[in-house]
Amino acid sequence: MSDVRIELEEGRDTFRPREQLRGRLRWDLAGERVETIRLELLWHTQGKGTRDADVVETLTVENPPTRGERAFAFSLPAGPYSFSGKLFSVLWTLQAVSEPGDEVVQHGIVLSPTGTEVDLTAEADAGAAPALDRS
Amino acid sequence: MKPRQNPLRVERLESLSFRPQGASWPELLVRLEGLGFRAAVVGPDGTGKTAFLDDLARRLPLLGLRPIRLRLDPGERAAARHELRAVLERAQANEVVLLDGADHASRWEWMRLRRAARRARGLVVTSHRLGLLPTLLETRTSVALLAELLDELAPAHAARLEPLLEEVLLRHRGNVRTSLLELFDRVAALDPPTR
Amino acid sequence: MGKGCGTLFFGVFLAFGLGFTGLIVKATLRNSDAHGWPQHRCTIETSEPRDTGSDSAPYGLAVTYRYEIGGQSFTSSQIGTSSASHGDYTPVQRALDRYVPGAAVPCWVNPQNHADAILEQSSRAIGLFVLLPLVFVLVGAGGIYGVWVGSAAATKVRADRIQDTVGRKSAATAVVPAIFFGLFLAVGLGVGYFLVDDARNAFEAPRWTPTPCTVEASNVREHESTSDGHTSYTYSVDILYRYQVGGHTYRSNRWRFPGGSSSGRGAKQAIVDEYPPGRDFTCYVNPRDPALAVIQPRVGASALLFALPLVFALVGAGGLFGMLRSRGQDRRQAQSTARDEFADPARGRHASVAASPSRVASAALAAESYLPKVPGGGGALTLEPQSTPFGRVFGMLFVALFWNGIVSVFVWQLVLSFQRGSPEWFLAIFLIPFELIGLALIGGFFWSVLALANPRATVSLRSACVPLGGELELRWELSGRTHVIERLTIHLEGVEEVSYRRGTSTHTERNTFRKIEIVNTDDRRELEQGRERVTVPAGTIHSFEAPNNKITWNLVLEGEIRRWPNVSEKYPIVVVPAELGGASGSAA
Repeated sequence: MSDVRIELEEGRDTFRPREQLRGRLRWDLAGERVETIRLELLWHTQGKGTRDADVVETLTVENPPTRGERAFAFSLPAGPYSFSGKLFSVLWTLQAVSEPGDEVVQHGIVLSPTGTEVDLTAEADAGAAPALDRS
Repeated sequence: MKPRQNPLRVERLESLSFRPQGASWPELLVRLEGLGFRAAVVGPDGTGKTAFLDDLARRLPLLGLRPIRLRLDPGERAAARHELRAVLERAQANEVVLLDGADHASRWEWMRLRRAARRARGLVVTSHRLGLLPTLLETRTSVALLAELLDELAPAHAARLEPLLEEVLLRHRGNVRTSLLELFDRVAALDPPTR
Repeated sequence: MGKGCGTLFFGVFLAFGLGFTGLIVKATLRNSDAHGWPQHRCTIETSEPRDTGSDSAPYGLAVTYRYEIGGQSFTSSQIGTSSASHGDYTPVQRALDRYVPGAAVPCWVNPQNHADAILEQSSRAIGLFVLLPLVFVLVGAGGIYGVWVGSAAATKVRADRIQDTVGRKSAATAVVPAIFFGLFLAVGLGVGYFLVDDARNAFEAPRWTPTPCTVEASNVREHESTSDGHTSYTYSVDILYRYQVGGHTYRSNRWRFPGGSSSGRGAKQAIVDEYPPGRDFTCYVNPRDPALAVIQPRVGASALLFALPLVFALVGAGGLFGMLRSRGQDRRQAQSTARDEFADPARGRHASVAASPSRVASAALAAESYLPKVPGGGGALTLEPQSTPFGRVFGMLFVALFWNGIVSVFVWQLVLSFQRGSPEWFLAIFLIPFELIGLALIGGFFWSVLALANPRATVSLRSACVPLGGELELRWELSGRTHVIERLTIHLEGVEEVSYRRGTSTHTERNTFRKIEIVNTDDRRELEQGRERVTVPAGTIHSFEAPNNKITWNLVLEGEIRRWPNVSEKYPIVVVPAELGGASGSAA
């Protein structure tokens, strides 16, 4: 059984917009025939609406050896932030897809200026926001 | 509970497999073959017609056939319909076209679509009404089915929601899909917000 | 199948419209035939009233006249291109006054056949009635077109440049409402043209000269109509009386203004019984036109009929006026937005937009595929509301006409059943909810028409694209009848929206997760115009647009008006991640 892993630098899972996301992709294919391993950085939605997704960065390893690793560095965009509302959430994921076979390994991250996902339900629970600065 | 944690979020609903009522999958496949792989799945909204096509698409390769998934939306422009006909005309003898929403075509349009798919090995459609093709299956729902689906999706909440299921399904006129969407909110309300 | 039913439904509209249009055009052309005939001098030989034999229009005129052409003498008794019979005696009286035996009057002779002559040329104004069936033709043809071409996605005009916005709005959205309101105005004016005399007489009659009159004949006239295999009758009062003015004898059968017939024979019979032949009574005679007289000068409830063409004309004129005003305002807005609206008079020069801390680099935006398109490209602009007042009026009108058109068919059957004396109670009860909805739709239409008279709100932004934590600078101005607004509120709202598509059906849901008050005032000066800067919270979420999941931010303006539709507008804006803001001052 093949083993594909995604390891992030310093074991981080939270990132700020426009930061560099660095890590290593490691694999041990244990004799299985794999033609490509594709590492994708994508955001996707989950919740009450049909899933939307967009792949932001891709790293492709063609004809990988049985065992190996590859360093990667992705420039994170300004958004969308990871957030959860009442109806849907936006999540960021690194996923490694082996072909043929379509085996998928995923590693979730949080992209947000504050280090945690934006929680819209907390805003709603807090009641109406105070009047804004007027200048 | 955040939407990404809700067990009734859409991705999980779409992963539900079709539950044949009154017939097993092998029986359905035999019946389909007997109809020359040209048949219709008929039923109201939210009764599993699309789920049936999804599961059929997974099973056809086991029979050496390749599925082509297509969808006909109401009110689509003429150009999109023309493109659909072109795809049907290119279907090969080892391919089965799975067309969702065939009843959104007018009578004249449906005749043209059927003719376009003549070279394909099969044509299986979903419809809200009888008559487009021989009926393979009439989909229907029940409170028991809704309970079964809820038990699979949200076992931790199924018991608490069970007394509501009949009322919910009745309110949604047998539509399991919109019933589960309403239960999404109820499940979210059962749990306090979590980090 | 849906298209087949739609085609059939709208095809009926189209067929009726074309049929009636053809009939009216044919009648107009027939009436136009004699307009080319040369005029000659004719001498009246005999002139007297005659009974046409028609129950509904028994009064006619029998005239003979003589003329000479090329030394040959001809005699004719033809008055017009079609034989005239009247339910009202007044035109007969006028004709008798005009065609006195021995009088020389003009006549028109057919140049192809000199024996063919007429005394009166028919009016071609009947051609105006072609506008009525043209409405049906428009609805029918438009409906069939819509069914077959298919629904296009609704588009909101995004203002990259305000002039483009005005041009696109004019071209794309002005034509159909203009035709619709134009037809309403034409129908109102056309029908009103024929009713204006009656309306004037109705209101002047109480001041006419009381005159002794004598009844010559009196009965209840019966008018038959057949619909859907059932024959129904309406009734009218027909009292013929004579009177003298200036030694001349006149006759009239006018009971009251307006005329017409209605159901209920009993009430008419009671009136006729009060005026048996030979009875003397007082009638009211128009001092300027003695041929015009009336028994009952008081205006009754049926005078509301006069209001109908007025309503049509008002709706049409109001709609067209409002459209023109709106276009003028758009043009003025475009011109004012071409200048920087955020000029600083203290500095004596326009503030530079580029120095705004909220300015977002458009190149950076383009790379963010999850963001919606920014109105105005990120520069200063005047915002467009998501729906126009005319869109709402037009939409309400179409829905009200469509719904009530269908319901009225069944209501008419119900009315006929009551008239026949065998009321269909089940149908009556069944129709109640449909009638209530129909009334609500009519009310909704008039409510939206009233809203056309509302003050117009213009909101300008330094930029419609604001980063989280950045400043939103807006300016508002109300024009028109601003004195009716009691309170103005402007707030910013954030909305989650999801669509679940499965198979071929779609289920959409929305949730407002944030509402931020910007303005809430009843101060007259502040209400009519003002400017504010607000800081968009840094800790909330930016705009997000994907095919099935969205976060939208809107500026919502509401002007409260007592006992009148409120001014209510919604303007989309784009909130972007803080990282896309300017280098300085991007966060509050």
